[in-house]
Amino acid sequence: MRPTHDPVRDAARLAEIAELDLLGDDVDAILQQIATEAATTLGLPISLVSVVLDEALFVAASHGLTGWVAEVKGHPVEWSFCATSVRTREAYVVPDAATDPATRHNPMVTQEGARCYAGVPLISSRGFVLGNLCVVGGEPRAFSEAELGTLRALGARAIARIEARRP
Amino acid sequence: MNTLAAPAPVVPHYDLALLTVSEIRQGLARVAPADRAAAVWAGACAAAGIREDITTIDAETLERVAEHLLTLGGTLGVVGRAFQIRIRAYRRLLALHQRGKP
Repeated sequence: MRPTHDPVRDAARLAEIAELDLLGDDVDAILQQIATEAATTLGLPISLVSVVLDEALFVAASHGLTGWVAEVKGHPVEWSFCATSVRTREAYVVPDAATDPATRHNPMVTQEGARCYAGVPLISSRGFVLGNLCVVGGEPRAFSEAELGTLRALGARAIARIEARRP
Repeated sequence: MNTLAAPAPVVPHYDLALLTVSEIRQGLARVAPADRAAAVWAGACAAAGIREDITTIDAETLERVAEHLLTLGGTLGVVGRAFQIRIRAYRRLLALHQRGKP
């Protein structure tokens, strides 16, 4: 059950996403490059720059994403690992999604094969968590502090790019 | 035909149901004052060619509603984009299931 005042559904946060114009069909080349760098640096097949909306996760940029999620450019928000960071404002790491009680019944795990996840929040200059820069793999995997540091550094570049687009 | 004679099926294995009119109206109410939300709903219905008092809609028509919301921009556009992703995910996954995969 979602909390009463769920940050995912906060109207002010959604207004910030609207102002930053993050939901277009054109993929920002720099965000795309950051996603690719995240995946290749951490040696994982998939990376996303996600924007967590009230009812869905939107893929603003990605590396290695295929199938219906790539076609639809997202999925229902209740399947989103990244939404956890919107609520906690912290990095979220799942070394083995198939055994973690929070994720083991998630269709992205049971049907799509996600097995490990690490994401860092993308927090705007006005303090709203927009989404995450995250990496996803198909095998269980631990993430070191150094790897999270790498993700945070790339996430800082992503938010700088997003802020640079602010009208 | 844009109303449903029977409830839309839930996508097996994903437990994903088609978005409902009620959920769309609740989503609008979360980001707009009541009178504005009602006006937006009326505009979306007109754009999709359905009556405002409709209670169930097929996926194709729901997607037209979401696309109209997207054109409004701002927070309503964000909500429309989220609805669009949910509806498209539902349609794509149901089609994959009906074709035998996953």
